[in-house]
Amino acid sequence: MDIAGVVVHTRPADLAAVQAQLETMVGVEIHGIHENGRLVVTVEEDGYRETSDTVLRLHQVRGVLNASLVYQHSEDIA
Amino acid sequence: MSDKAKSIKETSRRQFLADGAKAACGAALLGVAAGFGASQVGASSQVFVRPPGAGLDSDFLASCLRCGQCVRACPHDALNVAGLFSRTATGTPYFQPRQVACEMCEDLPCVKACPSGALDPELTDVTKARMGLAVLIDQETCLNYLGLRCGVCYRSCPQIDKALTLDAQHNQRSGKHTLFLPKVHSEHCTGCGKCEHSCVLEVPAIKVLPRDLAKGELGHHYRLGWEEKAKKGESLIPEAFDMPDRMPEVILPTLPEVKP
Amino acid sequence: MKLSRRKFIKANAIAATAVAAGISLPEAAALAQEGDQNIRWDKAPCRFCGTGCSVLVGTKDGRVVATQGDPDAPVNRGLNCIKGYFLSKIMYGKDRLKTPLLRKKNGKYDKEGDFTAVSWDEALDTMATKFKEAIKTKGPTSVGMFGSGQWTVFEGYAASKLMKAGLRTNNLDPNARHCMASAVAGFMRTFGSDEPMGCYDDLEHADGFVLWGSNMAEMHPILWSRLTDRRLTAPHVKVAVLSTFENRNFELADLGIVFKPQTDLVILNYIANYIIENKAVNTDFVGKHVNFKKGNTDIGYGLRPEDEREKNAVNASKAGGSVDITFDEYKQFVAEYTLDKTHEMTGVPKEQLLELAKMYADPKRKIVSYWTMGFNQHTRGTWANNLVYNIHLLTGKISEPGNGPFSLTGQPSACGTAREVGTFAHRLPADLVVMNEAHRDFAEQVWKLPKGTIVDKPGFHAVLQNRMLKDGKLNAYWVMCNNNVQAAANLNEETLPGYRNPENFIVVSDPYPTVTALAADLILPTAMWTEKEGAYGNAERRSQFWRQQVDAPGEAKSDLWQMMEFAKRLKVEDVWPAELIAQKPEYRGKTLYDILYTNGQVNKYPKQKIVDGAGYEYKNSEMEHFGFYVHKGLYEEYRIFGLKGPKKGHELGTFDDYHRSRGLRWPVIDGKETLWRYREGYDPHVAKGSEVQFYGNKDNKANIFALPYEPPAESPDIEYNLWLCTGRVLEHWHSGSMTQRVPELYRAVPNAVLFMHPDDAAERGLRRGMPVKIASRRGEVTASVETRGRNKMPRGMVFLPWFDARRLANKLILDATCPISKETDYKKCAVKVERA
Repeated sequence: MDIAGVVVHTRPADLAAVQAQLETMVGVEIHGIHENGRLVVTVEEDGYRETSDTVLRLHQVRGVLNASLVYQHSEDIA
Repeated sequence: MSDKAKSIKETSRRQFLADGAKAACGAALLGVAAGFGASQVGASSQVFVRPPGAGLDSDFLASCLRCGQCVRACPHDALNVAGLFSRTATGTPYFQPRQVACEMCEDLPCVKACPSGALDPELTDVTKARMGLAVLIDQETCLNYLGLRCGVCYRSCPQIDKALTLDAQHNQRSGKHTLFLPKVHSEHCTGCGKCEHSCVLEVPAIKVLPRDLAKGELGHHYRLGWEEKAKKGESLIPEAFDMPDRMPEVILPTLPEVKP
Repeated sequence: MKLSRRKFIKANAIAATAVAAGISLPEAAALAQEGDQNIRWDKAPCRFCGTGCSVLVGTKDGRVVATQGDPDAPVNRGLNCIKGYFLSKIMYGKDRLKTPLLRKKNGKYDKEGDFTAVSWDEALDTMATKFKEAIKTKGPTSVGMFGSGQWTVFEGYAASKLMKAGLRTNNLDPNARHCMASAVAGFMRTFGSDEPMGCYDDLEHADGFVLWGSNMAEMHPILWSRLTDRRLTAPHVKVAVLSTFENRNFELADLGIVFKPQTDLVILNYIANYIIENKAVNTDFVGKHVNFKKGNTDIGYGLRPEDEREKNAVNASKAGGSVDITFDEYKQFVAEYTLDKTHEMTGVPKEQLLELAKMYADPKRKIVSYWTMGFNQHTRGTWANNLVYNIHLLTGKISEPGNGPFSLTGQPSACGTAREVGTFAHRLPADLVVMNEAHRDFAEQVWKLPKGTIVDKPGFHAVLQNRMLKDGKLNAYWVMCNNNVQAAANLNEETLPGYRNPENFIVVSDPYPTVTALAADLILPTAMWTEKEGAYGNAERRSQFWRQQVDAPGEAKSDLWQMMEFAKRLKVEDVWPAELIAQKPEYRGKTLYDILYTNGQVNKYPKQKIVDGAGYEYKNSEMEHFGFYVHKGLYEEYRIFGLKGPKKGHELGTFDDYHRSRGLRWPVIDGKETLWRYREGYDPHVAKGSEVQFYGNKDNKANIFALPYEPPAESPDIEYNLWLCTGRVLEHWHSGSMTQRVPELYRAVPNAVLFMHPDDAAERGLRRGMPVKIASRRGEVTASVETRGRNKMPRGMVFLPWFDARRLANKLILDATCPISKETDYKKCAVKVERA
């Protein structure tokens, strides 16, 4: 199990569009939104490689200026 | 760091760049690749501790050839070369005490290997090196401040009792124990980072910072009265006299013996 | 459970990310904190040293997830040292042993085979066969056990019964032999009763402290913190520290004394002489409460009998002997230890010697002397203990608040288990000994055994066990709860040849694959610390109990479980002669388990629910397995020795009292603890009007011993030109089998380094950090040189910690012992150091 917390930055004008796109991504969840264009997002995957890929994909989302990884935790849950 | 970990790090970085990510602070991703257990990344800014003899960063950067000779000469693999997109000048040497601290080799192989003099060749006594300054940066989590008998940083200090001392203070809470508070003495601290390396907390409470960042400076208009007196060996105004106080004429109890 | 963990981690991720984003998400923060709820907190003593700090153990979902110092514990008031801080991690090293491992080749046990996982049945059956075989062919002296001052009281007691009563061998000795035996011998010789008269409350009452060979700052960190506090808050208090090198105590010391190895004996006699010459003897006290004796001299070094040093020693076989003398004879005896002579022999400046002597002589200054391995691990360790008592007895500074000699223990239950239960080769519970018929009779009565079950000769002590293994006289051997291959002296010549001797079968019970486990033939995976119910006794006579908090991993079982299950596999006919069984025909056909552990006493307490004050319920694996409250039964039977035994002053409280309290200091009488023994008013055994009674001896008097300086067994010479001392560091416990597995402690001090004077290094062409070879006549190890750091060595002396399994420091040590206590001298032998 691997969980990452990511701050996603966007222009305030793009917020709604970005939010909509993120919501379609598997393993990605939005937990908080600030009107100045920041979103609190978690990425949940099986391993850190997958997490890494998903975080990279966040960058590709139209309207995303930046996605910074803040928290990362991985452990084996049998 | 093992070769394997290093290569993972490099791969993920390349992939990141190739993907044309929009992030300027993409360094955050490194944490994913190296991440075992919880880690908070991107939250703290990195400081760069330089090898012995580097001096002020501005001077050092001007004279460092980025040749990597010092990094190669380090027998303990403590030194790294700053990569592309690093927060400091690419190709310059630095070390991260939390990973590998400077072992303070008496023969200073890194300094000897430096062809440009960026690492000061006149530095021959490693205890005179000033790579940075250790700072007990968090008194809230430092176990010594909490009253526990840790002192790991203190005992790991190669300049123990000079660069790092323990100030003993009464533990008000327990009423019968002592707080042994680590105190860094900039006069002796080389910035080797053994303290930061050995700190048992998950994030160290003591860290090595560049000296210009770490050191406070007293106002030049003020002197410490007790030090000036000690220096002179007597009061700076020895002629001043003390007129006796008038006291009631009773026999005073003798005071307990006090160690001079 | 899986989901809740995931939810918790996610909450942490959200909380941290929200902070970074500057967004407030109070719900997430609250959820992240919730992780700390639902933790069950219960008390336990710390697993490490003899200080006996109390901790609260936090358990959640069957795992110890957190600990904290118990803020209400009288010893530590919520504080811990750095080892105690990491207690919650010691049980979770990646290489915990989870199944028995037997050396096998082609499916069968083979001494040269590889470790193969086997069932408990196969493991214990194989063991039983080997033990029976040995007893059948060579008798009970061919089996033995090496136990521990880290055993719980219950385990020590069960072991004592198993070996001394069941297998009828006294070849049971604890690792405390390496650590406390000289203190025990010293107490018994002077006072006739083991363990200190004072307690830690002395720390707040004394006007002066003298540390003799005790690096309290690192080895008893919490007590050191109390001592320092006393020194800082009462400015008249003085601290003197004596050592063969400058350790961390010197930082605080008002008087820091570095003396030449072994010459502490000279200083001790000099102080006695000073006290007499300066009329500082408390004549009233000495007249009423003290006898004088002269001990035998030239007593050898506990080496093998064929060693020249033993052959030449006149009294090697009568090391403990003594004759009565008068005060004047004693006075004459110490008269030769003048200031000049003492200065010359010890290398200590005269003003320091005088200042120290004056501290003791000043009738107004209350003094506590502390010592640990500097005295105990000494070829004249018993003497050193006796000599410090002399000083306290001459001045009457003993058995009252702030005045007294206090031997600090190294292990968490060296006192509680090794000494009080009596797991030494010559002892029985509550100060009884196997050599005394009345004592044996009493033990046999309590244990419901036929007369003559307990053998009247002491068994093989620790050092002798290794020699006997090598010589093929000890053939079936069980090591529990210690790492003696790493700990014992002279690995190459004495230890390893015995473990790998084809005639021998070696069993090692341990939670981790230690050096000792790997040298064995059968490894038994063991439950540790709070994976079982337990009780420890610390240095101030405080017994502390704890409940089982979690399950042991895999198939690991407690030492207690292992011994009792092993006992089921031995029939009384296998191990007792017919004549003995004939005295108790009802024992025919029974197993040792029946006789020892279901004797109507041990199995008296049926299964019960174990619930704490808050209503939490606790598991007890042994109770579940054996069907009765094993711990309570063993304890209440053991308690009879203190209540009704021939030696008074060992009364313990009830099992339930201990579970309810934060520990009690014995003797516990009429619902009260005893803080100072032998003093009227403090100790209920002392008769009214007598002031002081040292009631361990029949005449109620203590003994002052005239004992001289004698040289060490080995001193530096032209080739081996340095003194070597081995010891501990604060960060690691003993052999490091637990603390080296805590990543943070490993990072703090990963390797043992050789502390050396910079000039000694320079003279040999060595620089700090350089790898060097340290060689004695018995082997060599490689370590890097440290000329700075925590220990400042004098010229001619080096120090190497022994926690590091990659550098077996003690292999360099000569297996010379104090001939009285049989404790090895780890503090001085001759080595040379050169570039590796």
